[in-house]
Amino acid sequence: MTSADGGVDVDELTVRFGDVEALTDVSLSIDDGEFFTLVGPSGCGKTTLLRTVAGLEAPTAGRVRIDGRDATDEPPEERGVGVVFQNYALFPHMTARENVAYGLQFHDLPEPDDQRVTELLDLVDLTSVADREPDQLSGGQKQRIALARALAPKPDVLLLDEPLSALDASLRKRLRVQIRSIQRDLDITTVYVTHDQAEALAISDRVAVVRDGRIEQVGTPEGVYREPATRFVAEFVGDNNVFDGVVTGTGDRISVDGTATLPLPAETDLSTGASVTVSVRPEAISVQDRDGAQADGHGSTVDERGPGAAVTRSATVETVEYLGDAYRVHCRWDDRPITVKTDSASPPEGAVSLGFAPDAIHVLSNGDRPAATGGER
Amino acid sequence: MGRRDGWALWVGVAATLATLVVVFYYPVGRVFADAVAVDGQLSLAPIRSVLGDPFYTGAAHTLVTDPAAVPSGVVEWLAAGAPAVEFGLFGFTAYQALLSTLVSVLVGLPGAYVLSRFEFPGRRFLRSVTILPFVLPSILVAVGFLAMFGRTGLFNDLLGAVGLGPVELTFTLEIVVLAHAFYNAPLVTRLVTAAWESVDADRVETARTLGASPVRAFRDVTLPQLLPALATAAVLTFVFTFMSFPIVLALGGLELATVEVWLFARVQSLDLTEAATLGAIETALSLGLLYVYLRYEARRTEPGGASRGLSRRPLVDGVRSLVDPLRLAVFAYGAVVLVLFAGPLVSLVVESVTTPAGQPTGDYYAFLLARQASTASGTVRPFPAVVNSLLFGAGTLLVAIPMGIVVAVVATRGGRGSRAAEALLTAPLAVSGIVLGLGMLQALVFGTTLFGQRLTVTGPVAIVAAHAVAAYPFVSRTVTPALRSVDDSLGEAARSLGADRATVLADVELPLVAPALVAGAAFAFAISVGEFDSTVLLSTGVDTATMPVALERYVGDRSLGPNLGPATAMGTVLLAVTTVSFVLIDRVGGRWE
Repeated sequence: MTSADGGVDVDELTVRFGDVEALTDVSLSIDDGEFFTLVGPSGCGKTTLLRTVAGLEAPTAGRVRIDGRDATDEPPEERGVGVVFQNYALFPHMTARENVAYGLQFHDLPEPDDQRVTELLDLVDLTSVADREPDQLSGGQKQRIALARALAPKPDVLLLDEPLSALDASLRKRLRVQIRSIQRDLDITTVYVTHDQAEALAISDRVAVVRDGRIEQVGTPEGVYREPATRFVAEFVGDNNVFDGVVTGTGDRISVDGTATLPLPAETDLSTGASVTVSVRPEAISVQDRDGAQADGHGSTVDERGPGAAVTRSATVETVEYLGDAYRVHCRWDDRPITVKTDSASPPEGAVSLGFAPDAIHVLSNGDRPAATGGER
Repeated sequence: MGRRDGWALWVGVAATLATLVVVFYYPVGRVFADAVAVDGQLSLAPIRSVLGDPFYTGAAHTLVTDPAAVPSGVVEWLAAGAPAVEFGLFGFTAYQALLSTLVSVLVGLPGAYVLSRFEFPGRRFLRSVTILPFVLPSILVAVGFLAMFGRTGLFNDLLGAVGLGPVELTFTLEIVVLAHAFYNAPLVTRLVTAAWESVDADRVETARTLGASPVRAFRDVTLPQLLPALATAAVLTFVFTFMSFPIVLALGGLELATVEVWLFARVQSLDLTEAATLGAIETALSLGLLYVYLRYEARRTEPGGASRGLSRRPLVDGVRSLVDPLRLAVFAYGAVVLVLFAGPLVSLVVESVTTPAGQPTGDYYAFLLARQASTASGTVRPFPAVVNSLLFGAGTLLVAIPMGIVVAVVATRGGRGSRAAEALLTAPLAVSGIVLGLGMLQALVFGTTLFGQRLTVTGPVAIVAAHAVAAYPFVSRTVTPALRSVDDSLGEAARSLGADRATVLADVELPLVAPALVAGAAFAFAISVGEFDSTVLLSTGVDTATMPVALERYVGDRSLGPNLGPATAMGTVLLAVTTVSFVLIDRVGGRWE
């Protein structure tokens, strides 16, 4: 499964700091030109993985291959990687232009250095501030100069460590579009580290969800979102409702806490008595007032799939969050919380009826670790 | 990071270690070796003869000569009503160090309170001036004290003006202790102020909201953070004043000799074995004290980064605040500080331009410039001394800066190398200049036979080497915190862009710590220009005398005139050089660890 050329391969990588194992037996294969994101909570090891690829940390075991060659023992300066750090790490005693030019002295590019620097400043739209010192640049400008500096020596791989996390929300969204379009134009293999799952889904060709030093799931953003492999992925990526239950022989076939039931999706082959964990996305659930009027105001009581196909459950609204384009409604289904997202015109309240299609129920792997990764390309 | 550091760093480390071995560890080792050997045979005789001599250890000498008699002696002593006992030269040295430490703490602590709890114009200036003693040559301070507190000094003039005095302080324990306080009280102030300023106001306010009174909050939150700093300052002051040399020599003379002064006198009379034994015992004592202290400090954990310091009250807040008893006390303290600290320096300058009768004169400066001033043979000529000082200072920079950088780089790495670097930096603090000078005299100036070759290092080279050993820790201690504060990711970014380890140091780290490097260099220069202890032993002829050496000669030799004139003039020049260094350190900056 190693890429013949281009890309990054990580084989059975383990990184230990003293007694702490930051990464455990991690294997990944990142294709040439792919935008690959490592996402996970803080302390999960995603930054360590990136730094090990960059040569800034030494693995305890395992190999790192860059562009098809074994780079495990290469110092960072010989790896042909460009790194963008969370705090940008611009050299404070050099101007923006000098920062961008710095790496060129160590690389022989066909074009003159000046031309390359101008090219890069153009690419990130910052020709106008080229002669400023870093402390005269805004956060967003610093980030773009750091990107230009990393790209200037034409690295084989671009590594970005939470490059947007120090910026405000709207700037973050604009810059991630810019990073993505630059990456596409240059067709450069990119590894991106973020703790923001929405950012990961928005920007990536593929995503790896990292947890406690291991890869939980690798897949396309759609694959990871729609078919989370584990409970952790289901809860970490997007909002989700997760229920633990037991497969029974009768009725809806999943008994939740012995007090409620859910249908078991048809394609599963779990036998009676097996414990099972399922998830249902909040946006897959509709809300109706208990008297039958649909809370979204459409007036229809008929699910588009037909009433027979819908699962309905009674619940009580507890709190409602207004999101601008929708409401997130926190309800109680018997004793358990359940979250619903609805684009109704007014917030539902009181006793409601929740409805969803049986195939909105997704069965998660029961163990802590995935049996197989879903959505692999 | 840093699996590969490149050869450049290792060459630097090897060169630094080699230099230290040749000019520090080997010479100091020779002093120790001489203390435990007689005719090449291992022997405790030299140490026993010193410790068993009542002159050196007083009543404690029986511990060595007749241990069995000690218990009965103690009983007799108690029966006699525990009269005062003398513990000889070592006892007196420790006594004056203890007294000096006490006075330094008493003078320094209120300063820390004022600087950290009050806001007033010049506070920042005063705070930075507390570093001045590190760069003021102690022989200069001694001359300043003579000019201020001597029989014809400014202090007696002032007393006379209000119908008091005169007070004779020259060659008394009081003036020695005061001069030590001049040196070390600012150290107390500096360290305690830093600790006080790092007290997190949130924690104090939390204690207050939980019900603690201001006094209780001070006792429970603030004080625990101040005590370690106070302990550090007191231990350092004790070690410094235990080993103090020029101040005791110039202000106390042989009547008030400490171990260090007596050691110097032994060397002068070429009694080198006894000198080496004294040096070894003294060094062992101060090293032991520092070691115990460092062990204690290593266990202490730093308080977490303070988010917000305590707010300072204005010192003067309307006319009515001036009658507040607390503020009156502060002003009284200010007056004491003025007399004790500004007095000697002002007197030095004033005396250098006035005759004993109070008339303005330029004669003393003219004397400095008279290259061929006809003086008796063996008397130090002034102008060459000025030139020598500056040349040796420049030479010291050439050696101390690279060494200091190497040690700082190693110290920043963390791990074992960093602890070794810390030990390297601390050791010179515990070895007095006299002991180093004695060691270099025996090992390098008199020569060492290596592979059948007689190797000698003499004159300027030996002096510069001694100065470099004294100065490089100051470079390291200025550069290390600056280097540490350089964000790791800057170096990592440079590595990922293609720079190797040495290039990162040259392109990124050193430019970023340039201010600290300049401050460190200024420190090193000031240390070299002011160094007296080892220089006075190593400058064998008049040709290698430096300003501090000349200064001491002029104080002792009144044949040049009836007063301190020439000494104060040269002292003023020395003061100017060290003031420039101080301004560089202060303005260009960097924290000092």
